[in-house]
Amino acid sequence: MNHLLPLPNLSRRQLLTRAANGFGAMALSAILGNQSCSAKPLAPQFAAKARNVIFLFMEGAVSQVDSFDYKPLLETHHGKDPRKAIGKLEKTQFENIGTVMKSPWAFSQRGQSGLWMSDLFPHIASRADDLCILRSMTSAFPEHTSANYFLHSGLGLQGRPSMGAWVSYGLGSFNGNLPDFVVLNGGQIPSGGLDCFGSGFLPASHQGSLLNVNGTPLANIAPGEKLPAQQDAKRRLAARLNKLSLEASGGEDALQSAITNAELAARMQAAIPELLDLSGESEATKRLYGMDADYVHTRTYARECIIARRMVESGVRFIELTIPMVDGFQRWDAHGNLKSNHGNNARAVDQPIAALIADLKARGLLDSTLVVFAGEFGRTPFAQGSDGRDHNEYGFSIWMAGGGVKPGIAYGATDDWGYRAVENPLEIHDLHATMLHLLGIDHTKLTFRFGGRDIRLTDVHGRVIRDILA
Amino acid sequence: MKSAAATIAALLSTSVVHAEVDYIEDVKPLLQERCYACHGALKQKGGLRLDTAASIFKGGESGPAVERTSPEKSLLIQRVTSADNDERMPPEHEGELFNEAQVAVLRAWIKAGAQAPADEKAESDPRDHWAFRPRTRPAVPTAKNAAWVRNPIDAFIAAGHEQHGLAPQKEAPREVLMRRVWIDLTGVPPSPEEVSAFLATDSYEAAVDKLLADPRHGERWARHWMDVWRYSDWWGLNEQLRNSQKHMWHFRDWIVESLNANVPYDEMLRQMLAADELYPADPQKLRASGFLARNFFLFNRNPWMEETVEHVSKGLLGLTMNCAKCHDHKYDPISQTDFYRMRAFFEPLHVRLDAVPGETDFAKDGIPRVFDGLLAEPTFRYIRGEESKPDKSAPIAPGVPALLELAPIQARAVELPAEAWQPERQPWVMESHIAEARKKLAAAEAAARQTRGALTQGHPALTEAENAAPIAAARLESVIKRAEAMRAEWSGAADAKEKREAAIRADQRIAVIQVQQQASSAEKAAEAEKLLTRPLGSDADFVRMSGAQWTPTRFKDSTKDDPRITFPPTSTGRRTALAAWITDARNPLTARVAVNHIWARHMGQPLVATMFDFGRKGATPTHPELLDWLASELVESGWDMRRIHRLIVTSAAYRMSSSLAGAESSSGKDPDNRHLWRRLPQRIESEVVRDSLLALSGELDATLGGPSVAPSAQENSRRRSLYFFHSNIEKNRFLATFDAADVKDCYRRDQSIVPQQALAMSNSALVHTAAEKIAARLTKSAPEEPAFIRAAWLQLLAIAPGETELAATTRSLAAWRALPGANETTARAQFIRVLLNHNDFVTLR
Repeated sequence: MNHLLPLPNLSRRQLLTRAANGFGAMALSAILGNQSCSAKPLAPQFAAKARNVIFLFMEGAVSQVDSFDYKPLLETHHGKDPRKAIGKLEKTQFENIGTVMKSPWAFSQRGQSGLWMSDLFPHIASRADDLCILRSMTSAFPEHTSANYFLHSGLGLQGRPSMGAWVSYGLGSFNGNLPDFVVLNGGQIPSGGLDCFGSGFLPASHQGSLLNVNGTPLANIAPGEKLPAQQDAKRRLAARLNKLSLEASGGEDALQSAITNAELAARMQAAIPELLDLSGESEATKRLYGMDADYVHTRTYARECIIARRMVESGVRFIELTIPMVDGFQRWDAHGNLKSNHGNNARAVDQPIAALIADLKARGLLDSTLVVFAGEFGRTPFAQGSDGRDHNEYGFSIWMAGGGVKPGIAYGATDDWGYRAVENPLEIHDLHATMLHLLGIDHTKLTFRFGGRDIRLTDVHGRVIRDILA
Repeated sequence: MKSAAATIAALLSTSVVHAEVDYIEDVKPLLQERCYACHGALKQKGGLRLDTAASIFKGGESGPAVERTSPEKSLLIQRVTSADNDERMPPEHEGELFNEAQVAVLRAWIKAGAQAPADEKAESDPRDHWAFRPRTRPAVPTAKNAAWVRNPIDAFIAAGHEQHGLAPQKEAPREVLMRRVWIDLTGVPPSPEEVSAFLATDSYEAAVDKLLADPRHGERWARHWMDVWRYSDWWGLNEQLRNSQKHMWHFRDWIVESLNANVPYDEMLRQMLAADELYPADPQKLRASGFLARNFFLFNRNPWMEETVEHVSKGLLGLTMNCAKCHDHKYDPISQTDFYRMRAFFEPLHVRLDAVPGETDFAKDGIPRVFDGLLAEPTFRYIRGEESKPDKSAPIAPGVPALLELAPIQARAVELPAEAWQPERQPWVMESHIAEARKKLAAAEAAARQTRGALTQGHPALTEAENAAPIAAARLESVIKRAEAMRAEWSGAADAKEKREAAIRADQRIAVIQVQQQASSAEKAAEAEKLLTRPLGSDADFVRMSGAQWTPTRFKDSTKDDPRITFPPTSTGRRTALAAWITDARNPLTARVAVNHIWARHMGQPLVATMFDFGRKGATPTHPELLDWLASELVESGWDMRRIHRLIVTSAAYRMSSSLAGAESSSGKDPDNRHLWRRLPQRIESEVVRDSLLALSGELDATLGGPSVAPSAQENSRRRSLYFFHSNIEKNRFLATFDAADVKDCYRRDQSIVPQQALAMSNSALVHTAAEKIAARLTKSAPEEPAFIRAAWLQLLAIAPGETELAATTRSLAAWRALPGANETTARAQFIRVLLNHNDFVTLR
């Protein structure tokens, strides 16, 4: 954001137009002259622990009692009526309440830290000493679309900026060739659609750029001309003619921006294929991530994770990963067949995620990269039907690693059933506040004036979870 | 507008304590932000005003707010730092507390003696706010630069030039003006024939008249109003409709047609707000109420109502009523109750689809429209805006903020004609059903004939085909009988009972035939026949054909539809009353807001920057007299929008060059062009980018109206972009890249500059295909290279190329012809692609 420091003799329009250019710069052109929507961006308020975020979005909702929240009572009460065992139950989405259901996966204590984790994620469990598990997360919505918006934007409705967009807006870029907020698409676009990654009322340049890890990575990224020489000649002549116009126009700023923008596009056209080209990665690295796995979805997610690391190295601020199409459109949403649904999903992501943490650490990047693993809510400790679990927003587990959080700890707790958060209950807003804090941003200061209000990612909520800061 | 340095300082600093605290710079803005809403011109809680230093010293009921040089003794400091919730200011839920740095500013100011300038002015009375004052028609000033003035608009602009020592840029070159006015009025560049005609003979004014009468004008400006009126096709989760309505395109077509017919603006608003009360049996006009039906939300009435209040207020009135949902408005004289008063106009609303002639399946077609379904539904104020806390002590009646009330709002219930609440009475409903049954019968008979020729007797498929025809015939008979019975019911005919019985029997007949066709023996077949003579029970009835389908809500339970809402024979008349107030010539806001919308889209910069907020927090007009003159012109011409369009585009102000060349003096004095000494170049809207590509290729489909083009059909569609299905979820990728309308809120289009745009212009299939077609088309009319080059520059960019441009392009064409596998055709197509990547292609100069 240094390029926004006061430049003498620039009009507001000029300033904004100039600032409109490209990723990372603050594209304020959208609000030209519009005082009701003025921007109030800011620089980091204090030393940042994290420079980058990798957000592993586990869409559909991972069951906490089968993964990171061990509840022995479920074993002893397996098969019993949950209304008798647990007591009064909240309304569930399907209201098809079965019996208390123990986890099909065995739990044990892991690593030096002795954190309890199940065999659902054997590889991730091997990184237990790097994880900071939050076992008392809650959401405000029991339904995917709203909960996805809530997790991404702090509001359960469409149209607010996604957290990646806020980070891009708040911090800007340290890479001039790439977007600040990239969504690596493994195949599963979340419920709620691309609005989960939108820039809302923030300028469009902050929206998540969706890159497909399989197939064409980005719309129109492939050169239009058959020969590189043609593509290059086209670009050069267009640039030359634009510059002639620039002179004739008397130095129109928007035109200057367009010229710079075309150059940026050309650089991006080169940078993105380079980033997605994994031929330079060693065989050992590829194997570590699972690029050679039998399971196709493991290979896809491995590719996502390696690219995510490469993006961190290239300076992309916020990288979100969507999951592969493991179980059709089911995602982690195990309303039935918990064992195969969660088993297959975990098979896809487990090894790549563990490798990502190990690889970041080995390269000295984990300290400055915040890895966040979260779904939009959790699942019920009792069955839906005979072998599924319904949605549960009253208590679930997510975890973070690196980026200035304490490693090898668990924070907060649910009740004895893993049903409701009872110790240090957390809201999604607290997650957002903490993530921003780790990036050096006071969440109450990162605002954008829209519709007559200064709006924040955390709205009027959010507390930094100080106990987990390293 | 602030200076750049001040703007940047404001952007970058949140809480800076200067060594020396200045009242105007440091203290006043703080008090304004936190305190004025309750202690200023709007309200004087506790008798206290804080909007001048004098009133601060004077204080309120508790005494002076400040003791000079003694922060500790000053009530102001005590109250903003108090630990007691009841004492502390601002009160709970009324705004953020002062932080330490801000308190330090106040303390420092007081300690230093609380100095303030003597000539400080108090906040003005909200009633004196320019937008709330009655509109009068200002006299047209006499401009010194009389030669420049083409019509009264210019006289107002020239006055600004004179006052600020600015010189207007000269008129734009004719080819630039041509592209400007074509795209502005029709959304596409001129065709080669239009270019020749315009540059050779036509006068500018004649061209304007022709373009305003062109049906493409309605399409172009419909898209602008679709932005303001939040057009959206339906969206939801998979197949479940959650927002807006199916077939919303009827509303879009109504906009296009109304603009092309130059329906007065006030009449358009009346139809949008209350067509169901004013024209209850006129399906053409009922399409207008899609404006309200669009706000439908399946699961909760509150967002539906809140969005309606918010955007009726913002879009039509320039009022931010939404700011008063939880508390009184902080800047405008709008109480929290006013928000709910406004909501009460819409509280009875429900939505339905009305049958259109020739279609009986509402999934395929139907006009989305609103109706008052819950006549007695009360409106309650929500305490602090929380829907779980309605204040049931006092139901709220419909009304408008007192300051803006012209006469008491009186809703008179409207008796609806039978066709409105018994929509099956519309003549085409029965006809559609009968025609549909006939069509099915004909199809069944044809299928039977065909199968008979192809298969031998006794083949199951043939039996099935032969069985279908008698059933289709019986169904037709049933539809006819039911139609007769329904008509007899309505008219109370003497033979209504017989007709009813005949209808029931006709229905039974279908069942009998079905049984007989499956019957294993003649006896069983004969047995089935007996049903037709068995006496009818008192509860026997037939299924009535329907002329409308209520759109179910799920407010009570998200997994099942709420109990059906019937169509009442009366409407509350509330929205008619609201429409009358909004379109009243004395309403100070409506016409001002409307002309600002129109002006902004012609000129690229509004007169009031905050297009949706004309309140005290909004921007002040750059040309208040011009705004009022245009508004008066609109109202006094009978709300004739075409008149306003013509005035603007024929003004000298509109015709100015956008170039900065030779304008150092004006540019230095007014870099933001507030006073319109030049035209601002505009990035064209996404729809214009795509439509222009197709128009230049000679491929644009000129068909007007019809169902939205489905996402899957868009890639190969040649329809204009406004016809593309466009919802909160479904957005065309190419259009979205160039800032398509945000269906939630789009009072001004964004004009972002992002690399994806450059990539789309450089690499997309759309641009590539178009370039080849454009090159072929131009080559046909200008085969020789120099002529081709000139025509290309002119058609695509409205530039008459100079020597440098010509030389550069000639050289490049030669080089590209020489590339492996290249020829004249490929070289020319590549040249066109270069011009399409020229910034002027996406810019309106």
